[in-house]
Amino acid sequence: MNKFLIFVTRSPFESLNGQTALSFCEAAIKLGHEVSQVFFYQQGVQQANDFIQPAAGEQSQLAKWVIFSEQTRTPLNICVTAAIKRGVVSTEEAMSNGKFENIHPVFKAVGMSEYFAAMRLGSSNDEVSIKCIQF
Amino acid sequence: MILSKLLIVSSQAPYFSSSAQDAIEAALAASNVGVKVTCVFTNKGLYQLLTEQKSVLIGKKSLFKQIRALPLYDIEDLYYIKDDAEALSVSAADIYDEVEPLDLVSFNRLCDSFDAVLRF
Repeated sequence: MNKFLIFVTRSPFESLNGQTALSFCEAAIKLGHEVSQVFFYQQGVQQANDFIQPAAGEQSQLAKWVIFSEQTRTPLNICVTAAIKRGVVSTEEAMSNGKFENIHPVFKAVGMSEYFAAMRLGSSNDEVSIKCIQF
Repeated sequence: MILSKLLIVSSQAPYFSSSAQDAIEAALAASNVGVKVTCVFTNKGLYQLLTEQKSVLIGKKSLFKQIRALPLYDIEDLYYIKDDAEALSVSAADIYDEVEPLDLVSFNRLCDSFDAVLRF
């Protein structure tokens, strides 16, 4: 079994990056692997933006992440620094800065170290193979 | 399997997009939790290494100053691709001298030796 750390860097409307990452996660879990977390960085933070409305006839990528999260309980972490500078606002940021929050609740705003600490965790356990994949 | 070695490949020109800044922030975050980080500057990412940068004129933090400070955060293995410098007509004399040149064969070998690669 492999453990995967997934890194998503593109927004849902500029590329299929998020959709490809999600398909990969679903396939990996189906084959018995584990996805330890999906981490959203750079424009990837827009995957968590609850204010995005897809055009008529287009599917919502966010809705797919929500279903995936409900079915698998996979942590969906977004970089808090990358998010705030792109107008993707967590509950905590909204409260402290008087803004509206727009991160969907299945996503969690965290520091980047959360992702890299998971890499370190892998190095201390020789039984499990951790693979980092960037989308 | 040991997975505490991270290679960051920074290939975008400074200031044009946030990629160069994002790469540095990722490197610092990884090093901060004990991951051994190596950075390689490729393609137009080499422009980040030019010592004469007046980013204040465009209201940005100097990337060169941030790169120069990386060794303070235990990020000491810094490389650029020699072939890319030649293609961009960037002279080695203009590049920050703490960053080592790498040829493409060595770069490929280097990539092989890492368990995780992030490309910006």
